[in-house]
Amino acid sequence: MKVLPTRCPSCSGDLSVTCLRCGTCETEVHGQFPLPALTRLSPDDQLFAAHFILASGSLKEMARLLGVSYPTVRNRLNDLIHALSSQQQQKSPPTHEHEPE
Amino acid sequence: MNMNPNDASFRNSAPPSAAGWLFRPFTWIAGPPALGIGCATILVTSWIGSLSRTHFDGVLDTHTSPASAPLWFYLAEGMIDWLSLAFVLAALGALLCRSGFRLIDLLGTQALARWPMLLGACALLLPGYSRTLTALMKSIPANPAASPPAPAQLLESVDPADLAMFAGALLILLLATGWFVALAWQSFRISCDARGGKAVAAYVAGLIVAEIVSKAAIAALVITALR
Repeated sequence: MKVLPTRCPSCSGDLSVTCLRCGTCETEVHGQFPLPALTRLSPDDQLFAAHFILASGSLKEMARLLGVSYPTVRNRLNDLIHALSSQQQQKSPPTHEHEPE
Repeated sequence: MNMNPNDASFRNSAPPSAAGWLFRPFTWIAGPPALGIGCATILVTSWIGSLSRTHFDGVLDTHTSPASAPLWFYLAEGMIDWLSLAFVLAALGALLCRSGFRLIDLLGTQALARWPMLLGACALLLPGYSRTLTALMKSIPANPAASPPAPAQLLESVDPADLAMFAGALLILLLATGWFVALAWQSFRISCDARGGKAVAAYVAGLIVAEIVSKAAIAALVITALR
């Protein structure tokens, strides 16, 4: 199965979508579309996020299905939260307003 | 991407290995099951300790006493050791944890982390251990002012086979204590999602504080029992 690349293989910069194509009428849309935050997560993180939604956000249910303890699932979720937060911080760096003297 | 939770590939976590169960068991067990098994283990360890008059009189302490004590006292010592470390680490976890944690996970995994001490308690049941200890105690002069016997004299009074059992029992106890310290760290790390050098420093400090707290609580218990 093809994996969506999110990083440039040359310089490791963020990749974005520049062309979308309709599979029915072959219309193409060109532009600069940034990848959604969830698609920029690692495949493992994406899988975990999908399972989390399918388990109705229940960590107990996730722990039961994955065969691990509750705190193990909770820590995995913390990692995911950290990854998404880091993305958001990179997207909107804090602005330092310089007051003119 | 497989989206079916009932599919076997949903369980993408690696199955627990033997080494995983021995040194990282809390990846797979925590909360009420760990609490139940851990409490049962603490009670059995204390009971076995009472058979050889061995007191777990501090989070990291093990001492064998010539004087007998009631069974409830051994059981209370085990509970004090467990709760002292668990509550000190809970306080540290509240400061360090990135998100909330469940107290039952920390209590349960801390109780289960003490299971290697069961091996230590069993090792001290070796007959050579108590015979060597009795021989060594007898060789200590009653008068504190008298000079103690030389090590060579001490060894002469002990059967070599008993001495080997004594050394073996102490080695097992030492390894069991080290194992318990490693498991208690794993319990803290997983239950409170504690990471990095700060978490290690907090754990070491927590062990020292819990040792002092448990010693003070057991001393208070002794004073209460003697009244």
